[in-house]
Amino acid sequence: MQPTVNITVRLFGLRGGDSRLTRLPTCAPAGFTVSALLAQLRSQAAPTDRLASADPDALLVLVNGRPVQYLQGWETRLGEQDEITFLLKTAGG
Amino acid sequence: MIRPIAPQRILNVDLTRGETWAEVVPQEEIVKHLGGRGIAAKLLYQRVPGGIDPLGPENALIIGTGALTGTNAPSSGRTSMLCKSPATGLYLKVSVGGHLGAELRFAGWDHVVITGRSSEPAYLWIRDDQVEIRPAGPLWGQGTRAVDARLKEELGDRAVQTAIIGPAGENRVLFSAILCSRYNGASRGGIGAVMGSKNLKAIAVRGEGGLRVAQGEPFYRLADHMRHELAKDPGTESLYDWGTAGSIPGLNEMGMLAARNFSQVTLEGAELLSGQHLQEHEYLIGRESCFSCSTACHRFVRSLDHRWGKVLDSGPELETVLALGSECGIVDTESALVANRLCNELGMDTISAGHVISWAMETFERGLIDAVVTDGLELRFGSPQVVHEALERIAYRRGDFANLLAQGTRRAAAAVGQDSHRWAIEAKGLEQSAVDTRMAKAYALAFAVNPRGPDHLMTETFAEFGLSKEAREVIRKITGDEKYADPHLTDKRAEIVRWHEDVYGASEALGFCVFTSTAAFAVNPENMAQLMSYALGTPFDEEQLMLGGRRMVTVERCFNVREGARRTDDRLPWRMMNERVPAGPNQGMITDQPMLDGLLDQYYGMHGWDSATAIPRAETLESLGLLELCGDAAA
Repeated sequence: MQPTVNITVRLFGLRGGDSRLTRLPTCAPAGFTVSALLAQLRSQAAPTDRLASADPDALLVLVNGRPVQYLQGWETRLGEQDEITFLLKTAGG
Repeated sequence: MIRPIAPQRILNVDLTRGETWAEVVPQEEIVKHLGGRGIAAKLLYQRVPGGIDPLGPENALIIGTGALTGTNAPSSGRTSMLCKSPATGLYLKVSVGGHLGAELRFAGWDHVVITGRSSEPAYLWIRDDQVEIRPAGPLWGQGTRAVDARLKEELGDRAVQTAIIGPAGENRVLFSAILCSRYNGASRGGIGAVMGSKNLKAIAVRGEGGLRVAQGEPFYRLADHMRHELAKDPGTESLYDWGTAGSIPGLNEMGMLAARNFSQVTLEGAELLSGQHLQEHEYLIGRESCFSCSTACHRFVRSLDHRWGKVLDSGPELETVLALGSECGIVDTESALVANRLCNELGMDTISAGHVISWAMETFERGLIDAVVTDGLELRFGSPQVVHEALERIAYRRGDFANLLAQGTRRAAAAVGQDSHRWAIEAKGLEQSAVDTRMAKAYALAFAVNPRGPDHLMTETFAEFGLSKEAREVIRKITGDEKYADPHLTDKRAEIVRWHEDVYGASEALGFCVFTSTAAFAVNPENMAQLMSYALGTPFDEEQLMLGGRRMVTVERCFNVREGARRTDDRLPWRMMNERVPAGPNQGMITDQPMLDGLLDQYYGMHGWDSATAIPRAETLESLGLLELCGDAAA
């Protein structure tokens, strides 16, 4: 059996019209990348979910609070107990 | 009357003598200083002598419309307001959106310079070339919303655009603001107190003229293209959906949320302050655009349970919900809406108001002050009613303690003493906006050298985070390599800051909202310069645009040098330089004095300023064509 890691996916504003946090504890194959995780989440998303249609470059993706741009980008591999957060980027403040 | 973009016209108003007169700015000055903030900075330098009392009649309140404001260039409705700040004693530029600038240009005026002091409360009524200083006795003491409605009724025209001070400006609170119609505030540095010191309650404007760009067809084609590019930017889409407060969940997740007077970097329940929450729970009932903007980031909101009072008003920005919410330890949506409404009505800067209160809360909880000192206010974190009460007392300077807070955090900490400056989140006398400069090094440098004090509203270096391919491309363009798109690095920060200073200045001089050029990136130096060329009908390139930005930054530095500011004034709040990030992904980070010194050395060197004093060298001024204007400030 393929080894797995326990991770938590956190989605903000990406499920239907619900802009609250959705927390999804899940298992992923060991060595799973952020890119593969996003593809899996999109395949499971409802057509009305913003996650299903959002341009990947419009997403801010954090692994344990750190943007993937400072890690290995979309190819960042997920480890045990990692928290992966997906949000839509915003500009201005 | 339909006018060309240049030459431009200045409306001079001497309130002491009750006189007004016009002046012309020739096109070559527009090419050199760009317009808006650029021309206004030059005028401020020329007309406000060094050492004057910011609340005296010698100070000037200068309004500078963007060179392209009033055209259909995308998001180009910004207007700069300048004076010597009563909070810092230094240069102050505040930028405001809305429709005031466009209306001024339609009335035939590109800049307004107000000096002197009216003997009685007055308001200025500008209707095309007809300018009147009218009595405002019945308006004095009233809130900004009531005055806006009353002026529109009195003048018989709902399309009149207004700039108004509230009771805080009348009472010369050192962080009082000027509110423009319903959605916009020129807020920082006590600019409202300067207007109040002139006994000027309001400015009302209506114009029936227009502007003509020199080469209409290519101008409108390029403007249309830029608008489409802007609409494609995902950051712009989120701004429409959620406003600036849409950043709250991301900041909290990344451990960058300013909370409890910057002693924490996350706060449980912070999403209740977010733009997403306002939308989903139907606090949000409308969106509003500034002139020629299709983003519509401004909110119109209502309270739902009216727990702290009824609200039907423009909505809170990101900085507002941070300063008056998380910084005060409050995650209560209704409270944030009420605090925002109070600041709007009373005419106060939400950033400084929130931070002076959160400083007082920490000081109270540490036991340095008690309820006797605070005139009965139990200033504990997480107390909405106390914040609302404090805001009202400050605006009216009601009681000794509120009177102290009305002078801002620096003066309050100096009065209380006992090391309370260590948690006074200010530098140069201005309260810092809610960016954690311990972990973002270009922001740290930009905040330290900001002529008005530490905030993100003179230079925004958002691109250093590298969170989009456009941002990384900007960093590659500046430094030659995308790898510098990392806020934790100190390498290349001086280059990044200087480039952004030039772009930010140029954007504001032309009237562009900096969200479009330094947060999203669809408006860039190349297309801004091209639009300017079409507008003026003369060749004008990116290099000239950036040089105009550089001149602006240099004139602003010279203004501060003349006021006695030196390198030691280019600093960050004590806490940001001495206490490490306490938790989260950035735990342990800091921008301490040695690190800041290294950044400053690079920055001054790039500018051609003397490293020991931070004063521009004469040869630098000469190379920028500023020796005649600012030579008295040269090293």
